[in-house]
Amino acid sequence: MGLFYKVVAVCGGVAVVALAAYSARYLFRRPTDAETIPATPLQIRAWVGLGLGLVVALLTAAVLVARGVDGFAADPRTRLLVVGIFVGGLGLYGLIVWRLRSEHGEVLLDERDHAVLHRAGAFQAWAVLACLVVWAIALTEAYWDAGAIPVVYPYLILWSCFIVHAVALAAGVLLAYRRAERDG
Amino acid sequence: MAKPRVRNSIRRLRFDAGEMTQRELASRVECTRQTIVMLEQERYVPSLALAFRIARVFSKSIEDVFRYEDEDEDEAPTDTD
Repeated sequence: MGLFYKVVAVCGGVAVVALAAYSARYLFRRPTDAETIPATPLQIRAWVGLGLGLVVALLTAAVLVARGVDGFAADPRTRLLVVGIFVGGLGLYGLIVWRLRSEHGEVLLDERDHAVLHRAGAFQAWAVLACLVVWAIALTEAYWDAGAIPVVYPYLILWSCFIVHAVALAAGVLLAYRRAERDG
Repeated sequence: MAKPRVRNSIRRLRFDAGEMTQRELASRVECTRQTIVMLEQERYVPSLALAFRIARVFSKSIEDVFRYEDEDEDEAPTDTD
């Protein structure tokens, strides 16, 4: 691997860790009394989405670590298992959101929520872009000499983008609320 | 440039309107209860449409519910003579 890509990989890794640490500190810090207000329905959905998204990501990673990428490519049951994890996660999310909607009995989205979603969408787009950049650089460098990338990777790129898409939207919503509660 | 502030009397108007709950007001103006909390704490400036809906619930004009203030105005010496 060329020096340039090593530097890019190290800088990218440091940036991702720093961003994750900052986000975690910002997200989980103890709010002041003035900042403490009840969660909106959208906030509750975002926490559910974040939790389920992380669970799905961890389960998928566990399957890939246990079976390996070659096992994923060769064994249709492994691919089916990954699809099952995704469909199960989506189904569970839908069920929880449906329960929340029927229990809440109030307006689910208002003008503040739309502003929050707008900000979260920008965060989500950058996160998906970053995911694709990591895949593109990693795969290109890993298979440069071979001149071709194994056909299994588009599937993995697809699933990883789905996960990042869901988790980044939830994290973006929570971060945008934090900022809105602080700055108004 | 001075930071503008939009003050409001929502909490008092709610109390005057038979102690209307935040949830009931939120339902009538089609926003979440959390937005009402943020408005009452003057940490959120509503859109014109929401401001009009809130004023309409209390049968008031928008100026009776919301007032715009510059910090300069707060600090400027008043001439009461």
